[in-house]
Amino acid sequence: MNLAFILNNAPLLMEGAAMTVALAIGALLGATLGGGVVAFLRMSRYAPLRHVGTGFVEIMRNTPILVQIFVLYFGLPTLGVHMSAFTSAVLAMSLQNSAYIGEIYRAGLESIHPRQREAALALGMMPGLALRVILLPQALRRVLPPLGNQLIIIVKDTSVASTIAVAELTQASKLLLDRSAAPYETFATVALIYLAISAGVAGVLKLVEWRYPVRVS
Amino acid sequence: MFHRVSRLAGGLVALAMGLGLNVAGAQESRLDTIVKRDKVIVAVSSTARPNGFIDENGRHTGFEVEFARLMAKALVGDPDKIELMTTTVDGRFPAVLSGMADFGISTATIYPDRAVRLAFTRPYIDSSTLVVVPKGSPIKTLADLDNEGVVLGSTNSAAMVDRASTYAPKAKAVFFDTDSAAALALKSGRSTAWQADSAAANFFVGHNGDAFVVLDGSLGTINNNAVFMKPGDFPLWLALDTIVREYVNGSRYGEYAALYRTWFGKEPPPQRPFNQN
Repeated sequence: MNLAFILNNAPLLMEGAAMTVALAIGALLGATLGGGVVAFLRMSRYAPLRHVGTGFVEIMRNTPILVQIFVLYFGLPTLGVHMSAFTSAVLAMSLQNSAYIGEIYRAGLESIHPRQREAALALGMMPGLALRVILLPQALRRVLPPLGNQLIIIVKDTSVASTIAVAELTQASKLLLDRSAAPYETFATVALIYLAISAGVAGVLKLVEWRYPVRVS
Repeated sequence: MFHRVSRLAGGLVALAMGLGLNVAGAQESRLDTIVKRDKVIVAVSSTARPNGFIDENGRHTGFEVEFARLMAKALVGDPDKIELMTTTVDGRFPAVLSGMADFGISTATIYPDRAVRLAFTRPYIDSSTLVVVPKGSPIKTLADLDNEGVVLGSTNSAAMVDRASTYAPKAKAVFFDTDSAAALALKSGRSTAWQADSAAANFFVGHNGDAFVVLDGSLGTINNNAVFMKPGDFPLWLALDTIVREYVNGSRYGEYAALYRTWFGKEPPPQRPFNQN
């Protein structure tokens, strides 16, 4: 392992890592918010909304992220819609992961016993208030572990953005590899950078879990 | 005492001989492995027309793929005794450095940086970089590339990246994993120009001549594309280099010329730079 090689090329990899973090932050925000919308649709009392939610989840879960990115980036311009490569990548990752995260939210909400809601309503709470102060706080605590897994998957999925010319970490590493033919140094360094970014996300989630533990009565 | 010493010395000699034999065994050339295996494993591309791609009949073919078959014919006597290991641009070097493939033929340009970690044979083809634009594009010459409104697409290779920054620093450069994606970017309007290996550019325009043209001249210098392998195996390198030489300008030039004509529709460079006649 040639440490000098790694140090000499650190600026290129760091530029790529910065783009990876930007992609991840955009997709994390998009997916966590989009997941809320998906959960709302999936749990709606109105059948058409439920069907829309179900259809969205099935399409997003059952098609590869690469295809979704290509459709957004290469396909939409034929319809006159032009988004930058960065926006296309963030949107594709947000859409796909909002389907997964929506299901995680739904599972968390449905894990709360229905009688808790009934009790809140019996005490005179409005449905919205019951959701906000009784159901959501419990559900969100419960979904933190699977949510953390999904957020780490999003970080790793950012590597797919290199296919549509986003100069993120994987693309930087491919360029470095092509220039130098040094795969071991390149991939080992890139793996460590991804590990650090993912560990950062996991650490934040751990802190939140520690701050808001699941209370078992 | 003398017996003990002589026995110890004898043991050491035997150990050294044994180690020597082991070392010799460990240094067996990959060439021997290929011959014993009776098959070659070659890293090639499948997304770079016309060098390596899957045709309409599902057959993996192209100039480089067929040249790899010629290499197999020379090495093990049969062009079909070959296993084609499909790699992308970024996977081709790890494929040989890891030992997964015996050698690679995948539009690899010889660069000094690469030569530190890879062994190259002599070139099997010259390549230059051409620029493809849509017909009617305001980009009429290579000089027009250096404008802010230009989006110059290409594969994410070191050579392409360097050329983009050298010849079109004002343009926006976008780099894709494969030639196919870069070509798709041009077709879909994501890029306004595409810099590509001359073979890929000519092949693309040959099949899309109603909509695209190649600009006059080449971007940058003429490059050498060569067979690459893991360094440190002189017998294999010598065999590969000799075979390439024999095809490109030696006893098997006829087969090379036929292959060249098939894929590029013109004669290859002459067999020799000089002629006694």
